[in-house]
Amino acid sequence: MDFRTDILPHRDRLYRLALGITLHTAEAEDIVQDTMLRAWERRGEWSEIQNISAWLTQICRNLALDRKKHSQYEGTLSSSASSGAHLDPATSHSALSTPHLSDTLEARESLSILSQLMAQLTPPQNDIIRLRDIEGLSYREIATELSLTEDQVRVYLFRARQKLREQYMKMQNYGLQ
Amino acid sequence: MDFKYIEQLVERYFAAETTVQEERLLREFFAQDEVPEHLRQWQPLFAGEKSLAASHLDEHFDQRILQMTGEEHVKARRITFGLRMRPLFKAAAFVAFAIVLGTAVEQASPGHDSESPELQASFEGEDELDATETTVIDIRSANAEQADSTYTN
Repeated sequence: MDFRTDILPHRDRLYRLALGITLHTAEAEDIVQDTMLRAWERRGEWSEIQNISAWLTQICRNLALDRKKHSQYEGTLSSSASSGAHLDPATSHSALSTPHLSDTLEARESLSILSQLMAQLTPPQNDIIRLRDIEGLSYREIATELSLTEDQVRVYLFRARQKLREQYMKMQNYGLQ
Repeated sequence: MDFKYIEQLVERYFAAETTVQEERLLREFFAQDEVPEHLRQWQPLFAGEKSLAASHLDEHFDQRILQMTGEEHVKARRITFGLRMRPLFKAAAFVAFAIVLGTAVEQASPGHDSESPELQASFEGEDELDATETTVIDIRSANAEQADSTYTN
C-alpha cells in the first residue's frame, strides 16, 4: 500500500466530513492534515486494515468531534466570561464563525443548518446521508464503504431521510433543540 | 410553471426512492434564486448539501503533506538524473551528428579547396615521384647519347 495512491486521495472526502462537523475551513483543513499524519505514523498497520477508507473516516471524525467539543467549551467559557450567559446550542455554529466558507451568507447558513441536522442523526445514519447526499455514491458503493448489503443501505437511507425530515421540520417550526 | 415534478421528487427523496441523478437535479433546482414560495422551505437543506459537496482542499495541501511525511523526497529520487537529462543528451547527440555530417559533406564537395596536411603530404610525394622519373629519363637519354657516340666512333 502506498501513501500517495491509497491514503492521500481520500483528502477531499475527509475534508467535507470535517467541514460538515466543524463548519470552519481552516479547522477542517487542520483536521485532515492531522488525519493524514496519524495515518502515516501508523503505516506499519496498513497491510492489516481491511477498509482503509472507513479507517481514515474514523480517525478524521474523532479528531473533528474532539475539535468541535473543544471549540464549544472555549466558546462557552468566553461567552460566560463576557456576558455571563450560556451559549445557545442552536447558535453555536454561527454562520458568522465561518468567514471563509462561502461567498454568500445564505450558503453559510444553509451549511450550518445541514450540519446541525446531521449532528442529530445516529452515526450510521450520518454516514449514509454523507456518502449519498454529499459524496453522491451509489447504493453499491455505500454498501462497500460501510460493509453492508445494498438492501441494508436502502433501509438505513430511508430511516435517515425520515429522521432528517422530522428534524428539519422541528427546526423550521421551533428551532433546533 | 408546473412544479409538480419537483414536489414529487422531494417526496421521493425523503422516501429514499430517488436516483443519484434525481437528487442532483433537486440540488440544482434549489440552488436557483427563484424558487416558488411553497417549495422554499426545502431550499436551505438542498443548498447546504450542494455547498458541502462542492467543498475541497486547495492544490497546496498535497505538497505540504508530502513534505511533512518525507514522501516528496522519496518520489523525487524516482526520477533519475539520466531520465531528467535525457532530452539534453538527445539534443547534444543531434548537434554532434549534424556537425560530423556537415564536415563530411563539405569535404566531399568538388569545390573544396582546403586540404588536410596528410593530403598535402601525399600530393608532395607525387611531385617527388615525378621528379625521380624525370631523372631516370635524363640518365637513360644521356646513356643513349653516349652509346651513339661510341657506335659512331
